[in-house]
Amino acid sequence: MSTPQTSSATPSTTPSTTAAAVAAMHMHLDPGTARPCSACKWQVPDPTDPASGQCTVNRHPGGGIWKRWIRDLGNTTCGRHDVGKLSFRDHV
Amino acid sequence: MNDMTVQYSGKVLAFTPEDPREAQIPSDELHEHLQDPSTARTSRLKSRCRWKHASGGEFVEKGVQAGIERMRLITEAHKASVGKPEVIRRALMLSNFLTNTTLVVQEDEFIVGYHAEDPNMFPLYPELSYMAVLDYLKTDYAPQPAAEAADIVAYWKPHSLQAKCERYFDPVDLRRGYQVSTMEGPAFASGYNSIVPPYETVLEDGLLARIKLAESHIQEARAEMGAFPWNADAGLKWLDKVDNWEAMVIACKAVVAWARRHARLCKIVAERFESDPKRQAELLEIADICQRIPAEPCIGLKDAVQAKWFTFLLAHALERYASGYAQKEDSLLWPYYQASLAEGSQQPMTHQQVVELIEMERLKISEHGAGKSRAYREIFPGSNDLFIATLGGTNGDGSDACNDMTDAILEATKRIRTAEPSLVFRYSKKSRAKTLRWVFECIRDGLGYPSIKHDEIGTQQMLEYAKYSKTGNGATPEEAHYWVNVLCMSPGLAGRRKTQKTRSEGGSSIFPAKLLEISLNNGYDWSYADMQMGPETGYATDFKTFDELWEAFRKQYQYTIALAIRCKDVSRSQEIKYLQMPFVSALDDGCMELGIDANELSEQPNGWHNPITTIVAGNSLVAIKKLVFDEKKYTMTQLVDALKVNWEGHEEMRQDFKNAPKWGNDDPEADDLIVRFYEEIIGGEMSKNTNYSGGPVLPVGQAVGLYMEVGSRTGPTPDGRLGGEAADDGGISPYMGTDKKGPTAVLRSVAKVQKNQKANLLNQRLSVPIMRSKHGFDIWHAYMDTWHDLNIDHVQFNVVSTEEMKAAQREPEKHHDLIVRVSGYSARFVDIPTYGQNTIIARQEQDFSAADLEFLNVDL
Repeated sequence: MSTPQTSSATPSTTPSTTAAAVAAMHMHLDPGTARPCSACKWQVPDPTDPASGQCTVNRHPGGGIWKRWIRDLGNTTCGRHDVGKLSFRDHV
Repeated sequence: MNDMTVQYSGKVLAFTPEDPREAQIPSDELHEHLQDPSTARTSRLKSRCRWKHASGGEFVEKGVQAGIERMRLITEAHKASVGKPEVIRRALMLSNFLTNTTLVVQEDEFIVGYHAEDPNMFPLYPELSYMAVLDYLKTDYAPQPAAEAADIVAYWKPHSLQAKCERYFDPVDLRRGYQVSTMEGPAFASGYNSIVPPYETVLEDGLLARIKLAESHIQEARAEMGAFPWNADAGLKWLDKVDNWEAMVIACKAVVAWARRHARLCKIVAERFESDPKRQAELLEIADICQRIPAEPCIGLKDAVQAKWFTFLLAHALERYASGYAQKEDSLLWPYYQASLAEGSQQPMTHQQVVELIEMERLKISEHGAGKSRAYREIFPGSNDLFIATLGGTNGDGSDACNDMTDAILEATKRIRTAEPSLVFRYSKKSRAKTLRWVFECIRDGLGYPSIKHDEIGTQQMLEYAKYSKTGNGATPEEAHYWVNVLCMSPGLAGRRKTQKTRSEGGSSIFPAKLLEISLNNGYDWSYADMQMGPETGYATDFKTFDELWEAFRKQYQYTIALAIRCKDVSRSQEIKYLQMPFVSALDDGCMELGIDANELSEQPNGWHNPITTIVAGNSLVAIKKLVFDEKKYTMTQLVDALKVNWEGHEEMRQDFKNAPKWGNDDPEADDLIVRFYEEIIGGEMSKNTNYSGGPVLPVGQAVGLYMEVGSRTGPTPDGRLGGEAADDGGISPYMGTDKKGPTAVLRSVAKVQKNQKANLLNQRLSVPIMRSKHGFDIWHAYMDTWHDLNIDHVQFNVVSTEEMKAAQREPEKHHDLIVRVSGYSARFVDIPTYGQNTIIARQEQDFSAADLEFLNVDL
């Protein structure tokens, strides 16, 4: 793809090197979490089943948005959880 | 001004604008200067148009909301009709809605009728997919009051088409379908649908005649059942027929009454509230039309357009949801155009008034919101829904079907400049030059349509499919000429009978790029869903030959396509039982004659399924074969490891895979394998499946916006693509930016794919200066004749500069009239997410070199 207009949606990153910290950055199940995917600005609903969702935090500088499926919106979290709402322009 | 020149045939061709005034328009805002509504009224209507574009799963415009009236009124009727035959319940649901719904008549409009209680709203369909409606309840545009909406959804869940169908599937298979990554979600889980309504019957007969016909059939049936001797086999067959005919009567009477409610409303407004004498007279004229139409046959073009509009609302939004605007619009309206322009007409009009009327119709469509599921609010970014009407082609006797109505529609389209409805033009060497010039002017104005279909290919397909007719009453050679695009791409019959009534017959998608990804990983989706998505066909790191990978892909494809078509036919079986369409059935001559519902009767098979993202898969297979198996430059383990880390640390390898031969350059090193891929697997395996109608299912290569969604759910691929990047943007289109050998090389590649295909979408982006120069039409015409002679099914064009699109990204509020062709439909560019906008910017802008002009044999 040619040089794209970059999105205004840029996720923040927290540098860390321990295995646990790295694991915590990735999407994982955490029952009762205070920072569930359902309340994260990077989450969009599943195309079919409203009980699931899609994570859109993985954004390549070249413009790709690599989604991940979220099985359990209320009990899944990751280290890049953030609040707010993105514009439709920032989604796929 | 531009300084582009080409040396050709002993001349130096310059591409200065054909209209010299354009030299004064900045090139990054050209599209803002192209609209030219034919009257002040259509200019006003466009300014206040209540667009309902969806994008990224949401609505772009503020204030768009789901209505509750349809849900409420059908639920009331459903509860009150327990114990009655299901088809009668369906008719009573429609009747209750039409009798009690709020009517909408807007200021300034001439064509009246709306499908929800407020022009900012759209209806919902709890009887179709419970998941789709549950999704709405969680949004900012949920129907209100919320508690009532929740109660309605809860009531319908067990009665919904989705619930009826789900029980026939293994939960594992269902979950895989719901992902929308290897296949489009089952239509029973989204509610998505398409139809080709028999408009001709309404305009020609009127509904009172259809009521009378159904009543006479009921009388005949009762006489037969009452005769001596009684024979159970013959006699009992009448029961369902009587129910179907009775339901047709209920539905048609309700429709006539609903139209006449509009007549009364317009009369009341004219007599009591309107002070402008001109508008008063107009409202009384509308009242007269709605009193007669669609009860009686149409006498002129105003009648015909109003009757068609009411029928559209019923078939696409009120009786059941359906996407689309399928009709052979020029042929359908031509008798009424002639009636209105004839001397002494009962409904006189001039050609320019016809143009204005069509502009108004186009704006009605532009306001038509659809209560679609989230998946479909994602995949047509920048548009309301898919609306595609068909023009041109040839008549039953082989003569040119273009006429002055064709030209009026095209002129209105160019002038009013909306993204919807899209148009398809059936290109024939017989198409008259005058109409071709209009087609070209719409295209060069950057509307992205008409998209072009090969007239003879479509006609021949109708004849081929007719051979499989279960009733022995498939398309005749004359009927085979009367076809339209059912949605974006697939031909289907139009007319009074044998048309496609449900998407379960043909439609929905499968995604080869994702299937290729899981074929490398034992059928496991590591990049999006983290689950097993298909059969365990082995790990590519264990494959010793390319053929093992080829066969692994085949197995994944076989599993998924069989599941996808099974979903459609199971849905069909339940639609027949619970989703009857008595109004549409009343219009179909076959349904009326035989007393069979429109979902059940199949006289003309039209099975198809859309492969989307085929070229990412094809290019990937080419790269793997070359670099892993032929040249052995990399091992499969090295490749898979690089993919798992999104090529990070493997940029040189990624460039090797990216630079491997690509589709669309007339390069045998890519084309030989990809042609085999299309014909042997994509089409060859699909065609082994037989659908409800008894015919084969054939591929219609497509994309809409699914190439973006599926791209975002697909990890990195061996064509050099990064994870989450968009996939290829059309069924047979080269991947964005990789068709580097000019537009005729693309045609030569595409022409090689001929076997086992129904249709294949080809996106091409043409140079703005070339198309808008005085040579533009001649070059385009020569291109089209060559395309035709190469027996290519389809092509559609963007004619828009990168400069203008980037300006629109910076200042979207200044570029509301910039329209682009996404794929199969057009959209307002500024209403597409940035991700999607960038894919259109990335498309190769095709110049025409001297070699291209020679190949096309352009006479300049």
